[in-house]
Amino acid sequence: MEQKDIEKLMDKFDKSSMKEFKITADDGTDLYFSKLEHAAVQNVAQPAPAAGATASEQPAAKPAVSGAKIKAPLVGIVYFAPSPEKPVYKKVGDHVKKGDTVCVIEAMKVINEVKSPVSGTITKKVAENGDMVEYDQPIFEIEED
Amino acid sequence: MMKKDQLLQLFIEHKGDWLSGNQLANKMNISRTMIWKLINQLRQQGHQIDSKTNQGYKYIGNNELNPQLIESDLNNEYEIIFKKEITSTNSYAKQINDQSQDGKHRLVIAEKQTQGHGRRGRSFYSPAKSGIYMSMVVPFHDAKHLNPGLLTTMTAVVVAKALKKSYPEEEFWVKWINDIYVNNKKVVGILTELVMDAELMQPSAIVVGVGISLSSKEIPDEMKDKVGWISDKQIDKNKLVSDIVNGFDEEFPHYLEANFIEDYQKMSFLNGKKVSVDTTKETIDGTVTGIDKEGHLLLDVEGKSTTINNGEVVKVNF
Repeated sequence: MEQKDIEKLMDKFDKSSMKEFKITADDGTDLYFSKLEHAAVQNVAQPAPAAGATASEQPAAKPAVSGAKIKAPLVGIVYFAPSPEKPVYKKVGDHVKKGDTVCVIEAMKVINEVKSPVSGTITKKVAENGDMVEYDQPIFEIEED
Repeated sequence: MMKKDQLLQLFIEHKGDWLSGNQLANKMNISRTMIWKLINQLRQQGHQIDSKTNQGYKYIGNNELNPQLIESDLNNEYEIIFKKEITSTNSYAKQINDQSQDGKHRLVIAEKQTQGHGRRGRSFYSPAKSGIYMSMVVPFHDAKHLNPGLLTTMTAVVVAKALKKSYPEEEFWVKWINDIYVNNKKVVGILTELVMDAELMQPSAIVVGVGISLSSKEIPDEMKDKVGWISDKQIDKNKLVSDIVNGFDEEFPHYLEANFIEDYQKMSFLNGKKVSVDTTKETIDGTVTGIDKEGHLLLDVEGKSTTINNGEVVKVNF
């Protein structure tokens, strides 16, 4: 991720109503912005939790700002590209329009092109290529426009 | 409807009967000279029409694909879209289904595909004249009652049975899941897709694409060891298409009962063979012991029985 990309994101975050923003870019860059006074400590040089550090200590760690999810409409194997040689349909950071194909799920040779239910930006991929996904299992998280 | 198509319709309604030039002229309210001209036009399109002095004309059929002839043999109502050339009948069918959203049954047929493909974007060789490339669009909304394994095995049985009617002398085999083989060569590829409505986030239709390699006539020599074909016997392509569509319509309403699975089991040529199955995550080697009632592949893997419900047979040891 380049500095100008980060600056752009910061600027957008600043103007948005979001309180927190976390993203892992394709190159592995981890970003976490927060407008909270006591920002939840996430990823950023997080010490290994001591045995005593229970969940009660960080109830706010999971931000309530969770975007829409693209879920599996049927049980099957998920593929992120139309063929092994081709680039993926969509990756984290890409903008998608409602109805865009984001991946394919295949079950016993029935193919289903999974479409995005909303327009927005993909913030997270929560399944791996070749994974067996269950009905309604999330595949992508997406921040609506 | 154009005059030429009206005349064809008359012929279809009286297939095998002799119709005099006078009768035809009266029915269509045009001159006998005009009838004669129209018949020549139909013949140029590949329609076979016998003529005899004193008897008139008798319609025989057409060796090439013709939407009117297909339609006249279908049991259910389909909107037929016929193209000389198309990128892919499945792609076209999905596009039309997305745009129209009217819940119609459709049948897309092409003489040639320029981007014919199977699963995972693999190309399907689709030259003109020597094959049939078709996609059925069947309205379907209930994702919960979709059984992919039964749908694909059912389609394979339906297509193989329709082919057997046109080629009773050939043996048709299925390779799990839905490839059809003749003489150890793949002659049919089937690509089934569940199409989602992006507004409602529920299925709108099933698209069943069937690509059949009929004869070797248009296949260049350098391709002949790579692709298969059924035989060079002349068949009625229109009847084959309508047999497939009618067969599908007959079986689909109760496909969950899996009445066809015994036929599938009999046609499966993998039985007893050593195979390698690619499940994306790993490759499993084993001996095929059969196909279960859900259409899953049963393997003996080093003495342990294993059920494969996802994957592809990538290697068969004959």
